[in-house]
Amino acid sequence: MKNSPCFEFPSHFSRREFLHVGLVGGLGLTLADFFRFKAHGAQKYYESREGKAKSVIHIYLPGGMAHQESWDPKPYSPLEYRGPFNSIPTKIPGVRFSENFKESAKIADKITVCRSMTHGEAAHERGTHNMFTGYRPSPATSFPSMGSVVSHEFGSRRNLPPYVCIPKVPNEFAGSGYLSSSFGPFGLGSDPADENFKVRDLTLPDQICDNRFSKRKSLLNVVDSHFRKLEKSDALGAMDKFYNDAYSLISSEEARNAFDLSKESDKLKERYGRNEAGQRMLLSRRLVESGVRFVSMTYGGWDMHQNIQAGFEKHGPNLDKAFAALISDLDDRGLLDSTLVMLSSEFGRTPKINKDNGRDHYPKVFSVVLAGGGITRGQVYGSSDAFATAPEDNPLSVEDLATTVYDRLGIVADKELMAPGDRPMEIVDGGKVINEICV
Amino acid sequence: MMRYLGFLLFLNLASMDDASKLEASASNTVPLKKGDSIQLPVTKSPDFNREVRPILESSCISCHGINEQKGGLRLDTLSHSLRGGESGPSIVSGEIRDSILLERIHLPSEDMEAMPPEGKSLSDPQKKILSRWIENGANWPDGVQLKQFNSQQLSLREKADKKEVVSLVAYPQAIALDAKQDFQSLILVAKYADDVTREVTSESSLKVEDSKIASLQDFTLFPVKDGKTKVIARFKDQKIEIPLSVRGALEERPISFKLDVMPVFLKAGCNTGSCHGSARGQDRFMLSLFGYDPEGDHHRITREQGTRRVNLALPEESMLVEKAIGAVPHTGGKLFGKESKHWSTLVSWLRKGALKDSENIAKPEKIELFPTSALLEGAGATQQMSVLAHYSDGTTRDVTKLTVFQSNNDLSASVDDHGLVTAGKRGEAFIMARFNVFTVGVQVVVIPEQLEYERPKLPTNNYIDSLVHDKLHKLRITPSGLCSDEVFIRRVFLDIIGLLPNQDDLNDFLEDQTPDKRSKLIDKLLERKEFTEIWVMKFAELLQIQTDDNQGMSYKSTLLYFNWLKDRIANNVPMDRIVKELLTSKGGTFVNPATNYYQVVKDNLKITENVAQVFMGMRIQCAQCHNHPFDQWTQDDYYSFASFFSQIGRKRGADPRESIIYSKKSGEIDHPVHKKPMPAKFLGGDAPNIPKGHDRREILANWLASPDNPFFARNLANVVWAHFFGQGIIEPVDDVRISNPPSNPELLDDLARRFTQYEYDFKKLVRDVCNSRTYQLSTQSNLSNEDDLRNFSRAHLRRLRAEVMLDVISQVTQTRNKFKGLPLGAKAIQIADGKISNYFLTTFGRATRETVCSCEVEMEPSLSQALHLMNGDTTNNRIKQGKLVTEMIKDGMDDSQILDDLYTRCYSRKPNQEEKKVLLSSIDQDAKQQSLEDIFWALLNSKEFIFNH
Repeated sequence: MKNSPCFEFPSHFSRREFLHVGLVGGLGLTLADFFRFKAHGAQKYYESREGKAKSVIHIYLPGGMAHQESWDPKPYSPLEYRGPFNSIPTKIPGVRFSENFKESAKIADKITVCRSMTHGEAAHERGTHNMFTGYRPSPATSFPSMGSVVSHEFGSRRNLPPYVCIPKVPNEFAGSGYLSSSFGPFGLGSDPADENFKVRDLTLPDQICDNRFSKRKSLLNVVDSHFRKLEKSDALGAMDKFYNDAYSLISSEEARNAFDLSKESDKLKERYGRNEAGQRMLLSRRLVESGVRFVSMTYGGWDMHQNIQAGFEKHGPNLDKAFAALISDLDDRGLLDSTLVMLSSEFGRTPKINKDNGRDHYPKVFSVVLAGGGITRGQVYGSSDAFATAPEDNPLSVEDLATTVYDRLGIVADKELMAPGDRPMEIVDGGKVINEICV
Repeated sequence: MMRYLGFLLFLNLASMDDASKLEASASNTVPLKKGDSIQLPVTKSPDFNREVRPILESSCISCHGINEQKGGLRLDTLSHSLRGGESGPSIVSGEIRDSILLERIHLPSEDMEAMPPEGKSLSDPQKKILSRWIENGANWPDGVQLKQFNSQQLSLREKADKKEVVSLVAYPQAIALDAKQDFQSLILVAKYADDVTREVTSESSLKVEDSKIASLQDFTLFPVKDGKTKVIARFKDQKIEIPLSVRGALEERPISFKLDVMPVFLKAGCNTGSCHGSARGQDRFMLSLFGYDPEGDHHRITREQGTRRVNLALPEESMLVEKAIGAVPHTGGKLFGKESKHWSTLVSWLRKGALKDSENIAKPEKIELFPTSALLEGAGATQQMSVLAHYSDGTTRDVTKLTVFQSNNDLSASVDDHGLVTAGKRGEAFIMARFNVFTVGVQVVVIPEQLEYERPKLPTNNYIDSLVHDKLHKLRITPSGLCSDEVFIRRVFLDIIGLLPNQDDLNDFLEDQTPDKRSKLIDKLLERKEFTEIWVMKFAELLQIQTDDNQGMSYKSTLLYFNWLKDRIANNVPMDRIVKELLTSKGGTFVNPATNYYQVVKDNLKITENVAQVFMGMRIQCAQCHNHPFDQWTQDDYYSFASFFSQIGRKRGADPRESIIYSKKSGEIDHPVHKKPMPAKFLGGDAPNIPKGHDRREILANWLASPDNPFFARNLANVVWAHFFGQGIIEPVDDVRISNPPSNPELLDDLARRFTQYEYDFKKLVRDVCNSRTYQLSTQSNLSNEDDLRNFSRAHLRRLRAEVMLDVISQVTQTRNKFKGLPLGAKAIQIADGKISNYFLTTFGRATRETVCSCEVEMEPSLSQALHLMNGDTTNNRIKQGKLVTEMIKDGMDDSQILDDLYTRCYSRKPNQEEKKVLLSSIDQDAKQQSLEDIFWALLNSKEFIFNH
């Protein structure tokens, strides 16, 4: 009995960890998982398996989009709170959006609006950090973005880079954090809204045929081998990985076509809108359709301290049209159920219109829209109070949002990844899955 | 009776000093019952330190010591043990029958009163030792008080006991008690011959020389009456005396909101950003973040929402108190109990009427954290920290219990709420202490026990090496060897001038046989104009030199500004002068281009922040709205510093593109809390006397760029260092703060000191850095340094920065760049305007110059970079345009010669035999040029080319 391997635990396995396994056992952890868990020692480990969401399109609105002028209007509040716009009914009975979101109102039955998003960071970079990493900024640790975590957990699919940013890497928190930089994003470096949009260097230069290229590859291998034997460093490993990613991208026409917007019909381009919002979202759809796992795109500047009316009149309609087109296009193609669309911003804006007819930073309550990929359709989750000053019910934290998105992708956010100094870090620390918005 | 005999038998056997017999007889022993008497034959007393104390420390003190006194009993001093607890005296010297301690430890483990409880009974030999010790008079060395030790710690101590102690240090080194309720804890640290430190407070004998002046209890001194005496501490053969003075021993210090109550909010976590310190408070109650606004906090507690937060009639029932102890529901939970000091502080303040402090109350001026450094050996080793606050009235207080402790690396050294540091994995940690508005920190190094290590005898080229080696010795790391000449010449060319050596440079250097050839090469490179250009580029980033229509930065201004900077650096104008010229500049942006400093950024608060970040390496942005959460800067500091920039005037010049910068001689920036301007005060320095109407910037500049400002030289020295090592001694270089300490403070201080001595001649500092052996180390790691990233024990691979990489590609392919506004063939490092870029530079992370942040230069590899080097025009077109291979073939060079040429061009070395063999055989003689160009392409794409190594 004493030597029966089934009952033997490694000595480093503490009671607490044992209980922990017992606990996740209740959540459907298989024996295989358990042994893998064991193999990872004290690190909390869960196998990531593709979930309902096969990919994510993250539409990020830098600057902090006002919730009042978009998803959470307060039509019955005094003018200085209500702001300059009216509200309109949507496809969800009893739910109103700002009149800036007319097209989105028509597809509201396909999306979930979370009106109780809340955190405590009122500075752009700190709020942005929250929304990209699921963590509060720490002076000691640089956390990986959600896209990098997805890249780390699942790797590439159909020869495409797993994590793409349109039109470029939007900010320093969109990177790989403490993970190897090989999980960093592929920033396009060009804007799909440009007339001559082309992602550079995807194809071999003229005169370099496939044969010659494979010869070049083997030569590169020869000249690299001496150095590779001598040196090791993360940057070196990451560079090697990017070369391999580049090889697969170059060798697959299908993969390269994902970036070719000219393959989309004019009609569809019009439907999305021939502007930054529209074309970036159209390309996002093409990319996830082709196999990219996580697309992060930005649109507009939403830091409207002054004249919020003019600001929304400038950016609102394009965003509205493109977003509605994206959701219905994905749905038409049967892709919505496997593509999680998340529209977010670093924070919302102050309840009251300020002296410059704008609104200032306000993280205490704001809205995030989720759709598809295992998220409910036609729902409003949580609410803000009458003046949009605080969450009224079901406050949604940064951790809960990230944990739910990870869960939809098939990643248990309690899993620990290894940060420098052999320091295990949960993907998200202490979030819970919001079951009410999951299908 | 049988039982009694059995026990006697056991004790007799036990006294025979034979463990095996003991075990054999164990089954025969019959446990003692309460009330049974014990008789023992006389034996020799066991040694207290070696035999008795480990038993007490590991099995008794955790429940019967300073922190807990179960049954009212303490066993950490002899007098406590003699006094005993609820059941009477625990130890009676020489009387084994009357000593309850012995009775309890001999009870069967299932007995409710058996000690230690819960089946953790002592072993028979341990019981025997305690019995013999008491029987022989319970000898306890004078002045010794025990602390809890676990078995791991006992074993560490046992090992340490065999080592030679070279010194004993007390913290604090002098004690001053200045009120009736004042007290001061004492910490003793032994230093061993191998530089390991160990706390030995509980192993030392402590005695107050004149017990009429002060008393000693629990390692803490209390005043008795005014006078002077000393504490005498002995450990092994070391003895030290700590002067002690007492004044005001009979005077009670009145309770104060700022000095007593505010610290409780900080310590208990009430005013952190996630609780009531949040900008909008928590559950409708707001406190200023980390207490930046005590007046406001007093108001909110006593006046806001009527007076519902305080109840002066029944102070204990004030909401403030009841929430904190969890007597009423509190989102933040129970923070402390009724028995705690914090509770009595709050309640006694309320009893006295919850008063505001008088205007002239003493202010804390600084805090000290002890010990000032620690080198702990072995996981589990501990070190108690202590914090001493100094006040403006000259008094001090032990504020350890009111201090928030934090470690930046829990894995190597964690710190608990009480300031007890426990060593973990090998490595270093920085232990930080926050009290009032002050944050200080000390470095703790942890090494594994019994590491096989002998300090290597290493050659040193200059002071840099000695200081690096000292640090590596603490970490028990041996640095890598020197790099080869081929690696050195490539490295030093890339770092100093941003180009690769050509064939002649290489030959000259390799053939030179003189021992100082590396130094000579460094001197030669420092005279090249490219050295200047590299640093002009780096400073142009910090000064954000770029055209910007929104800010009114015309191309003409940009160019004039850039050329001004270039002229200064090329003429080796000392850095302090350049900075003074910038900060005090006035006049037209065309006539005096330095004034563009105030044109690039027009927001005076932003300028304040930029000056701190660029010239002092500090990010003070947070303090604009509240006390800096991770640093020492308060909101007052911020606005006092901003005050220097509150009188900058700007007006339109004759040319619409020109602005005129002048001093308005009036104008203030209000502090947002009290809406009044702050008097100008240097960041981390004094408040100067400024005559009315005097340009404040001048006074600031004279201080900023001078030895009076401790941060200026340090920051620039760190920036220089970071350029040559890929990371600063403080990293990132522009994030100097207490919680981001230098990896080698002594090194940074010395570099700063020398830089000041060199009168801020930057070239001299670069010369020191490049000549150090540390800079010239190989990238090859050894077993001891493979995990070291921060201590410069080997060279690290560094990807070439965007501009240098493009220049080097142009150099080896013999092609020319074209940038807007610059002649054909200009180098990327010469670009004046930050707005001018190209795809290559952007993809490889060139700074956009939109902010002063060092993070603008991106060095991370990416897929776009790989794609561009592989398929992009930078490599493919340039190989063709340069016609290098074509010409070499035309010149009649054979394959092997061409290969040698390409290799030396890119790698500064010839191909090795293996490489040569494989590559030569790959050449298709029918398409020779193409084959060789493919090899060239491979070289340009290779890691050995892309990285500096």
